[in-house]
Amino acid sequence: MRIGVVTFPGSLDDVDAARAVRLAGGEVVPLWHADAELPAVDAVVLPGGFSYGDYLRAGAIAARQPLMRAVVDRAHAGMPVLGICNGFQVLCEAGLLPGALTRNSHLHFRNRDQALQVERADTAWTSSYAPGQTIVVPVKNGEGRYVGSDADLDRLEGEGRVVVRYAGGNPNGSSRDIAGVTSADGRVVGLMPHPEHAVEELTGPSVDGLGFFTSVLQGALSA
Amino acid sequence: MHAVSAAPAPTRLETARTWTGTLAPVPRVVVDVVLKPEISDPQGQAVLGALGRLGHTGVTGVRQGKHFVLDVEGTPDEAELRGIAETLLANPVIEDVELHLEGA
Repeated sequence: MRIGVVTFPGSLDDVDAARAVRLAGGEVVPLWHADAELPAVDAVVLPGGFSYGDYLRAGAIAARQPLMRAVVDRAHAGMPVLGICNGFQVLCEAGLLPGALTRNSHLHFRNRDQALQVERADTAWTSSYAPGQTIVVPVKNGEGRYVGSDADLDRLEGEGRVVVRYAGGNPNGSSRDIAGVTSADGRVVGLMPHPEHAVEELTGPSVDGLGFFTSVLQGALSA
Repeated sequence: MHAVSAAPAPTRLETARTWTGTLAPVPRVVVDVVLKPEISDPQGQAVLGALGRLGHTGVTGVRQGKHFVLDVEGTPDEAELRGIAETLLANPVIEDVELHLEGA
């Protein structure tokens, strides 16, 4: 399975995302934000970092780059897309995911190992987990507070679109402890914490993050 | 020999201002963006806290936003500018936007 990993100017975690894909058994296709066309890939990962220096709003300029238009089109046709941290911000700015991410309520950058509860274990990126499972992966952000109007959040909860929720403390003031959400079809997932940093005992707090990448590979095999 | 006048040479910015002033006026569009009332603004709250510590207790609320100044060639197309403001300069999920046309 070929998984594209996009590099924007200011991406930081594209190398770790690619490494996670390889450890899960996938083939990495490096993608560049300015490319107009999306090559033949089965899924796309948007990595963390500070694309375009977070100018204007985090993810705002990256979401309007040529390659992202192609990613949006393919996502509407069912291609799985995972956005991690800045990638999640890009997906919200591109309109593929609801809500928005803004300045942490305490105004500090927060960097720590974070417990998450998996609420949806049936999306393209979380089928390797059990519903209700608790995982630990790093979180690191300054603008990771997930927000939306109460009506929008009620609708999201009603539709079961919350994929992962912060457990054991909310690192950034996100509404309703929401750490990640999915599209209506369960193919597009975005989350602020970093599963790609928790794929090897040597470098991560756990290997709990690998499940995001094995999920999409297993989905392709069973499809 | 008289000493050369000490008046400083105009900066590039001042030169540009003179030119825009003596040639055709450039229509200017101002866009103000601020978080919607229901979205909490921790930066504004931090400013409010600082004002309180400085003794300015008469200020009871601060909302921090963004202010864009766009110079536009020719006659501004209000619909296009509104589109720019609402789809790029502001995120309508969390922000309100106001457009002001000046010198158009």
